[in-house]
Amino acid sequence: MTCRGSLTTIVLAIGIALLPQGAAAQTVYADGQPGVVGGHRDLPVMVTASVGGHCGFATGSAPSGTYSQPDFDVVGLNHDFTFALDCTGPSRVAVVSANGGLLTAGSVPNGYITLAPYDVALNVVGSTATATGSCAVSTLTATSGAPCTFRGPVSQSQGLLLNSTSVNQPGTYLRVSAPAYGGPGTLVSGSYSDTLTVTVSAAS
Amino acid sequence: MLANGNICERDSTVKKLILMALGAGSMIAIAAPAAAQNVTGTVNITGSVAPKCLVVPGSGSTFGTTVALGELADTTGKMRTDLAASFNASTGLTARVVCTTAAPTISVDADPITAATALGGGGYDNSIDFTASVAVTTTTGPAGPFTNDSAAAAGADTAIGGRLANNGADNIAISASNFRTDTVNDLLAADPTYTGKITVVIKPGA
Repeated sequence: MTCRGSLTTIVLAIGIALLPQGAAAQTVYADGQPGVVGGHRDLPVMVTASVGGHCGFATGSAPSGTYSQPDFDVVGLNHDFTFALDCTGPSRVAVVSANGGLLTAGSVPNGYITLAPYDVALNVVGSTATATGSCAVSTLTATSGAPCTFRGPVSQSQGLLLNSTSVNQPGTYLRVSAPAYGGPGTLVSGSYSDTLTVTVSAAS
Repeated sequence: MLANGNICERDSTVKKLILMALGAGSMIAIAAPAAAQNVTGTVNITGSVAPKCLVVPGSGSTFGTTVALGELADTTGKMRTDLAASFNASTGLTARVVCTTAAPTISVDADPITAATALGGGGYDNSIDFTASVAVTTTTGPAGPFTNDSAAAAGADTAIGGRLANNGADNIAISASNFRTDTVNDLLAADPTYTGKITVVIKPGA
């Protein structure tokens, strides 16, 4: 292959590489064409691209921490985990519960239970809209047969939809709550725990 | 440099430039999908349930009733012989208690039925002793009865032997027996107020 032939091959390769991104394929070198000026060859390479919107938790503002409530069977649960989004377009937020309730170890006979229910609410604030939702934590497990509408894992089509940008907007929180436990069954004594995993994604 | 070189040298330089441009284009093509990456936060909720026992329904801490036996003496002045039957036929002697623990305990303390002011002695008695008995139902079946005689010291905490049944029915039943005076022929001293008591304490245990 000649040097020129080799160069032509490369030029074609550029066109192929750029076509999927919408760039105009352009021949940048050809004998006798205006592209050759005074021994120089101008090689205009058209590159068009776009910067996609990003979506995540605002720096340092991801949901985190531990809420501990002794005697929750008597006094109930009530706590807000605040966080903030950094989404330059619509977003979705989803939650998964590890246990589907506050769980303590062991097995117990009929009439006693080791899994305490509670509710999980999302309040996601955007610049022009607010999305809210609330579900029993039992519907937030990965295996729940009747899952909550914002049960995770999040995807572009799964999770609580915030149809607005949200960049460090205040007022976004994940709330856990429960009244004093009134049955059915009696919670056995012990230490209980659950983990909620919150994920955010750009919405489609 | 391009101006001074031959065609092939210039082509070679152009190749480098084009390859660099191609590389840049490729990087743009790869970078775009990264914006779809999800991010995750995790929160933990912990809590505790204390060892305790409750009277249910509700979350009370006491249960009980008053058994009014009426006239304690028969027509001869001696203690009625049907006091046990009368006591045990009373209502309110059952309760439903649950504990959050697996090994609750129970203690029973019976106090004699004693006259408020009348004195005894010389063929007269001013108190009636009896034996209190508490039957318990656990999740695995009957337990006890746990007893204490009013003439004896209070009963000590005793392991019930399992979780208290929590099936919606009462699981504690109190009864009394062996009502007696000091001697079988004693006459009961007259007094408008005789009182006795059975105290049942159920604790969470260890």
